[in-house]
Amino acid sequence: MRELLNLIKFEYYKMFKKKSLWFILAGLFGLSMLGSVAMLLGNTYDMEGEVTGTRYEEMQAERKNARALGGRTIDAALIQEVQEAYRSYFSQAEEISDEEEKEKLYEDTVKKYEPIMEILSQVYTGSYNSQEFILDLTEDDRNQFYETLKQKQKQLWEEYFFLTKEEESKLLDYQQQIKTPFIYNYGAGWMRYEILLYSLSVFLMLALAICLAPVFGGEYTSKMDALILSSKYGKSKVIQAKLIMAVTFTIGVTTVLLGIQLLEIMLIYGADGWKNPIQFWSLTQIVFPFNQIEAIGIYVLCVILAVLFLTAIVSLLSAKLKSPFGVIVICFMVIIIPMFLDIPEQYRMLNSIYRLLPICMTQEWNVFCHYMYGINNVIVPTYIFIPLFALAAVVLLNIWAFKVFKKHQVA
Amino acid sequence: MELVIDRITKQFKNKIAVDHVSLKLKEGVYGLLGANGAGKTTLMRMMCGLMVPDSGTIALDGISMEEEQYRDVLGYLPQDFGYYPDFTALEFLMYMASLKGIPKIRAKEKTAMLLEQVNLKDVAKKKIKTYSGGMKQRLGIAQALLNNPNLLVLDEPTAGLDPKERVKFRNMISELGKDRIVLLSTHIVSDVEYIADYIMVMKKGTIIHKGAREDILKSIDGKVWECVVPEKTALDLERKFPVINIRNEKEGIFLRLVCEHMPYETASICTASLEDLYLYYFSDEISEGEGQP
Repeated sequence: MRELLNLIKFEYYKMFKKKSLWFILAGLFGLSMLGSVAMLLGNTYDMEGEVTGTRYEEMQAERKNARALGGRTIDAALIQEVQEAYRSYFSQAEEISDEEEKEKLYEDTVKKYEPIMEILSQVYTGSYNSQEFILDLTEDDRNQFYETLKQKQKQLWEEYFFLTKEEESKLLDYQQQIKTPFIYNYGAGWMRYEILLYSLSVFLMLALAICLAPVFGGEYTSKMDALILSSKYGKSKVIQAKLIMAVTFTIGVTTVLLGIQLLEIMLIYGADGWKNPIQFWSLTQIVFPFNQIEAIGIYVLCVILAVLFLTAIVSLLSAKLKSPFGVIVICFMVIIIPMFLDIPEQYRMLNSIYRLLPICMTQEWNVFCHYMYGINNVIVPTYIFIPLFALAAVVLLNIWAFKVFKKHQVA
Repeated sequence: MELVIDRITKQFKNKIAVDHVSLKLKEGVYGLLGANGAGKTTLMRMMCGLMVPDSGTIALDGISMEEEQYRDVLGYLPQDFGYYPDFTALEFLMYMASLKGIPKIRAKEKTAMLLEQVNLKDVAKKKIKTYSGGMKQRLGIAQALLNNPNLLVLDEPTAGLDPKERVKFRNMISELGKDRIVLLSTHIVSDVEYIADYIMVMKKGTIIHKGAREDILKSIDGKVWECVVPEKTALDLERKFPVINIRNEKEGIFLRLVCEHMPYETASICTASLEDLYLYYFSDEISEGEGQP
């Protein structure tokens, strides 16, 4: 065990000796920090192009408004309250010609209800920012808010997805488990984190491909393979050490990066809304009964395992190819091409395979999508299948990489 | 201690690199002599477990070369010695020690001792990329000796060493050969001549001669001639026979050459050396520009 730990230490030492690694990690962490604040940089403008404030101030104002609604149950009573506020605004706005005055009226009467309006708009109209619909809602409409939501969800998956009967039945089960009525809390921080996870995963995978490509390939180019493979531990512990280093490095960098990102966002936006239902991400699309923190936990797990899957591919290619450059090129293709490629969902088999590519595993809309994996009645949703598949792939690919390097013949 | 190489064969596409080679080596220094492409490096790589033979076995005291136990007592210096440019010599040897399973404390002692032995103590903390070719080669020798190997395989170990270093190296190897098997391959005939107890001549994948120096030289006994000839005759003889030495003298061109019969009426027979033997067997490769003694 001690020898193995010593060899792992040396593998890390070799890695961190490279100046390029430090640049890449610095770039990665810099990007993630920038991503957290990018939306808050810059100014806000009015219709005439005049600066009205900064985006950060705008966020603070939105947060203040949203927090005022914190803890409110989204039920018929709240919908009626919102409706009356908008009725009052629209009727008064008709009498006002001055735009500034109209804006002030808006801020005084209905702006605080914007987060709720966004939710209602998705359910009643299907879009995010309709307003006029609120005036036409009847008492029945207000009372049937959650039934309407469920109908809209069902309508969406019937019209736009190519689901099997078993999948539909399973989705209906999940739908029943969604806890209603929803309780609103300001949750912009969690939503911002969820949005950033995908783009962060892309940069993370690209960075790890570059950092880990030399794990075996570097031994070929430096001609150290002969000395390593002729040594006592060259066909056993050394290879284990390399693979363990690759895995632990990946987990370490990913965890630290995602952790820093989360901390940064929570400090900026606040940690409110962790109990919000996942449906706040996309009301009509997601039917799973999770709250934000549960969903983020599942999503982060999928991201970590997807990144580990990519690392295992890097290790295998590094063992097989004679140069790290080839590994980087192929991995970049594996990461980038699927981002622009799309396999139509009607080709279920191909689409299912495509969605198991490492980069696709980091897409929120894939993790929580309606499609499931399995045969006949034995099916599991994607958010369960992805981690299981990724884990199995990691194990198998690492075993394969081990064998490839062990059998490498120095020519 | 005995290394048994039993009918080892290795083929690459249409070329048989090692052709049914069988050897039994006990303690001592063995020189493997051959031109480029003779199969020396391929044979050595198979002995070090870096290539899988197509057929045959290699075992040291009954332990197959595929076993970890075999590699535990193996020291290897490849022809093209690899290293990490940004490592210092000290770091590199400590890393090699960990590959060889040497405990840290023991590794520190051994590393210090070897760096002194190969005259790299003063530059131990400098990066290998700053080293000259000879310094890198000495470092390579040091790493091969880290685990006090029973079987030491050295592929072109004196490449890049100056004459003084080469002499020092020869003395080191002679000392080492007393209680271990040392196999070294080289183009430098004098290295083999001075230190090898036993010489093996390899050509086209087979061992064509093996034995002590005196025994293998018997094959060209009576075939080494010296003569002074006119220029035109010298050109003619050069075309026909392997020439070991040629120089201008007052009376004409001095030639030392290998030939089955007297090449010129005034030629005198000489005592054969290992260099003569090398030229005799590898003159065709040399004339194709493949090898130099």
